Amino acid sequence: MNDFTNNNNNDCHRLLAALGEETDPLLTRVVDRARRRDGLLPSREAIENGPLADVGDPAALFFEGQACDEDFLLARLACETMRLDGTSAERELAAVSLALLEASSIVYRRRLLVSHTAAEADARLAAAASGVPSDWARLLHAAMRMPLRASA
Amino acid sequence: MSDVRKMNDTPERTTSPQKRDSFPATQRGWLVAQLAQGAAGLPKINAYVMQTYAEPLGNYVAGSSFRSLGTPSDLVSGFFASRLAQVGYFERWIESNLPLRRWLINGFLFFLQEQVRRRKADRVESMPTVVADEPTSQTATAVEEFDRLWAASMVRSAASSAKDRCATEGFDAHWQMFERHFVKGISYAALSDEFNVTGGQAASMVRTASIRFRQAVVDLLLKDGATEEELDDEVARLMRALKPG
Repeated sequence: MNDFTNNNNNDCHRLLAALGEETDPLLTRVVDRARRRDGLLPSREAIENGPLADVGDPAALFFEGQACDEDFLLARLACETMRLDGTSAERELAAVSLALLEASSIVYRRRLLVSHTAAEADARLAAAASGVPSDWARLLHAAMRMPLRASA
Repeated sequence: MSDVRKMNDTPERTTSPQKRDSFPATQRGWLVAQLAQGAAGLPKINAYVMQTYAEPLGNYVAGSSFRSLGTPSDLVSGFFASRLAQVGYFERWIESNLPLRRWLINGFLFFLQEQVRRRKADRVESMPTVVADEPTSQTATAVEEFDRLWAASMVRSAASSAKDRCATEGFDAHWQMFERHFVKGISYAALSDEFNVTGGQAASMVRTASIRFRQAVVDLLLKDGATEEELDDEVARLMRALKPG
């Protein structure tokens, strides 16, 4: 029989909490497909013609940092609309696009756009980075290392 | 004849075939499958129960006023010896529709009460008076406390099993990252530095270990008697039981 000490309930509680969703379930689906390499992931073309394109050229606005606050706001609205009303693939693309917007906001504005905490943003960015093309993944990885000014 | 009855080869187990057929076999999974094997399955059940429930039962008695009855190890061993030898003990559990842990703590409380009565009858002098009242007056508290202890034990067991599986599959780093992220609160950004991977790879590796941990938890909950539909509620209940403070 094992010893009868019981001093790590907090760790056990944290481990059980790991069974819950730590980020957008749509992004978790992207992570799973990236892990299994058995399905389509958002392509560069899909990202750059998706909801981020509603306000202009996504690469110039959000990758290179030319977006103003209003661009962020409008792009976020476009993403959230698609996330609610789109097909399964569109909803995933919207979730990925929201993560990219979050990354751009962190890198160029030093503040969160969608997430409420740095930990939430970290999980969102990492999950999205597992399934996007390498150039957009660089933006996500850069954001993961950026200090933040304030939460959303 | 059903497979369950066909495989019963001991006289004790053929006395109530109608009841056996009514067992929700698909919901009680592994234990029912073992019961269906009759004498061949029972040792496996007993071994599983002792391995899985001895620690939380021992922890329970160690923290209760029953501890004066003996060492936790002796009391738990005595309980198992007394109950697991009973004919139809697990059939009665299935009929009770209780989670196995609840069935066992109820039985353990009765066993402890029996020990108290026996001591009294033997005129053992050193029993504290509070002990005699505990099983009836504090059963709800005992069950709650045992849930907490069982949850902690179950999570440790699931973590150990998932860690071993990760090691077998060559995912040691995945498990380390999973633990550091969820237990120590290390960010994916920091993990990617520590393990020399990208943030996306860190998320993917943590998820790989997380899935194995989830499967290990599910396996244990199903063996404890939860149905597929009850799993989310069970996890939520165990989280409440383990909630700090």
